[in-house]
Amino acid sequence: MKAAVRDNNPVLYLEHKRLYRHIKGEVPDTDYIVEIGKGDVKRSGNDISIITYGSMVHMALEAAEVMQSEHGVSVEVVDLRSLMPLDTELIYASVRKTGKVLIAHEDNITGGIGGEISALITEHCFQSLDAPVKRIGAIDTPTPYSPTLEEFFLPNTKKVVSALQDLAAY
Amino acid sequence: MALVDVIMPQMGESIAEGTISKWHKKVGEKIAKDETLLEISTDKVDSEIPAPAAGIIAELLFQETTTVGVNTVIARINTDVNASVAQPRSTPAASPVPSNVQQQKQNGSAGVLIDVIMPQMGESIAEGTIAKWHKKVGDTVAKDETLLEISTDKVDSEIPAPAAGIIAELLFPAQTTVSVNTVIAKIATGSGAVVAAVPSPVIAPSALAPTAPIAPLHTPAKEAIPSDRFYSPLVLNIARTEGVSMGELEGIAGTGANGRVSKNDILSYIQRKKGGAIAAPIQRTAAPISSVPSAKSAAPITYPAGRVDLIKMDTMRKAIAEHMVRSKHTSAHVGSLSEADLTGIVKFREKNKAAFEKREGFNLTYTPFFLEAVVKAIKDFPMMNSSVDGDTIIIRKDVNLGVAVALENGLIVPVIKNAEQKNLAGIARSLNDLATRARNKKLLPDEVTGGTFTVTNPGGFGNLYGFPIINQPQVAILGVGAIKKRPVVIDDAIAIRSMVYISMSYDHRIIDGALGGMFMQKVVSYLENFDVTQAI
Repeated sequence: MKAAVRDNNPVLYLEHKRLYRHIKGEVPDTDYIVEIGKGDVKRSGNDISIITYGSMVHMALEAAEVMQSEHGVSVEVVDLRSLMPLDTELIYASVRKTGKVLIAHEDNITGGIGGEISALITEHCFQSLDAPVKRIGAIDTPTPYSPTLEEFFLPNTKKVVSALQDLAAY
Repeated sequence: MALVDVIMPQMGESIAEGTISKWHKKVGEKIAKDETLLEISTDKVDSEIPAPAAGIIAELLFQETTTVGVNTVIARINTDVNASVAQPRSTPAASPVPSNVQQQKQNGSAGVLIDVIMPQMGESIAEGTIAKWHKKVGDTVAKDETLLEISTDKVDSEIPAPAAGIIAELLFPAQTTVSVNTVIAKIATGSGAVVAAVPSPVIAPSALAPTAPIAPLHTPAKEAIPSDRFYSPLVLNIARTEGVSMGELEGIAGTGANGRVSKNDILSYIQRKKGGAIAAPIQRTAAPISSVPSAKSAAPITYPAGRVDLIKMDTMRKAIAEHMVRSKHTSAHVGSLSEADLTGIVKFREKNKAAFEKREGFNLTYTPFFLEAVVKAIKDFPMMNSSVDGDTIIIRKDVNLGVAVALENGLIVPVIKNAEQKNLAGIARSLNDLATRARNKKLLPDEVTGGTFTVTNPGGFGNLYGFPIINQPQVAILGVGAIKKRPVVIDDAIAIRSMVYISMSYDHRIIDGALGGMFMQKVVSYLENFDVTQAI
């Protein structure tokens, strides 16, 4: 957010309210900044890449841990951090390493940024793909309010694990 | 053993129940985690439901088309690695009696097991395919109630239960082909069995069968037609850069979905190759590569997803398809068309049909008249009643007339044996008997074999004539069109007569147009000169 504030150009910053309330973590004591347009590999792996951002990063990390400990599958988690500009080189490098991709976001599947990322991957990394590019996201309905419905609507760690298992088995 | 419950999932917010449209697995079958176990349809959507765990299907608690509330347990999977795989093709002699049934015996509570064996459906038939089980394990069955349907390459039959009781075991899943005299099911008889088995119909044979070695986790790739196998862009890329030929690729056992070669498969192959474990594969694979193109028969059919219905051919359909194509490849079909004036026969039938039905109990149709005329014409031209074996012509002395009978989902050709020894009423009786049993699936295999000439009825639905395909190894087939009143010229006057077109396909290898034509005219002549004064 600081990078956005300090940028001379207008920046659209998408706040994730749930993250404010639910996620805690260590931050550097000194002034630091996350450069816009640079993603980050949150966890390194060899078998499957998860391309994700926002709160899904945390679910992806949990799912990656489950896959490692229960199924022996090594999953890499790429946190995009910014969607525009998109850190395509980081995405391509990860895909070329693993050959299997899961794109995860909380947005609706149809029209979500995952479709764009998937298109870029097939355009630029086709020769490196060992499985179809898979996406996970919210189902194509309006966002519900009831917790039960929200649970059904949104992706979660379990759904991520299940998608990863499909990819691992392919 | 560890049992994992499979529940009816909630398919949407407002959906309280789902209908099991199809089970993809049967009790006793092995299933991988996330492999499709069943299909569910709700009023909103149809879905495939993956297995929650790997194992053996221990129980399927509901039949197909049953509607079940969400969160109901619908199946159980036995995840115990020591659980046996019910080997569908193992010899049943080695198949154990389920322990629940054994216990009944030990307790002396009147449990006697009756074996159901695959019956011999005909002299030359060594095996049969279980087309459908009418009962499940735990169901009560009455003596002579239909237990299963069997198809052989000749005929479909319903098999009755040899005794009343409870189905203790069904040893083979449907669609399995089993040799005759093999035990295919066990029925527990006696009142004790009823008491013991009814409350616990959930005990599936597979769950109780003793330990058998389970197949290794990474089973070798299924035997696949090489050229049909899919390779991902990555695998092909690795193959190219590492100098792995397509022939070698075909030989790699895949561990991915449907035997696909995954990245790990090809990398470990390359590693082994470099380590010298795989030697000079090029020569070994040279032959298969060259044989691939010729093995491919036709370009694959493409269709838009969701815009087609896919129907699996049943045994009868496959038999018909094979038989018809083989006939076209075997015989040089040539056709002739003729017409006959049936006015006399129509009048004769009108006059006699009421009395005939009263006496015989069934309708007098026109078919026996045609059959009788054909039999007489065959006696005049025995060459029509023959087969070809290489360069030998086999002229048959028995006239065994096949008559095509349309069934709900196919057709069958029962044979009237020694039709030359029967009169018109005798032919009518045989025909009625065979056609009725054909429709009820009660034909014996011997009754659909040995035909020497076939008559079919393209007019059955009102069509004028058809172009039949010869029923091998016969050499001719005669098609009878619809009988219709038409204006015809007789002695330069126009009259209204009941006319019929008669078409015939015959094998030009041995029957030339002259013989075929003369034979047909003979049939016409017998039909037109039918003695209307005779009694039937």
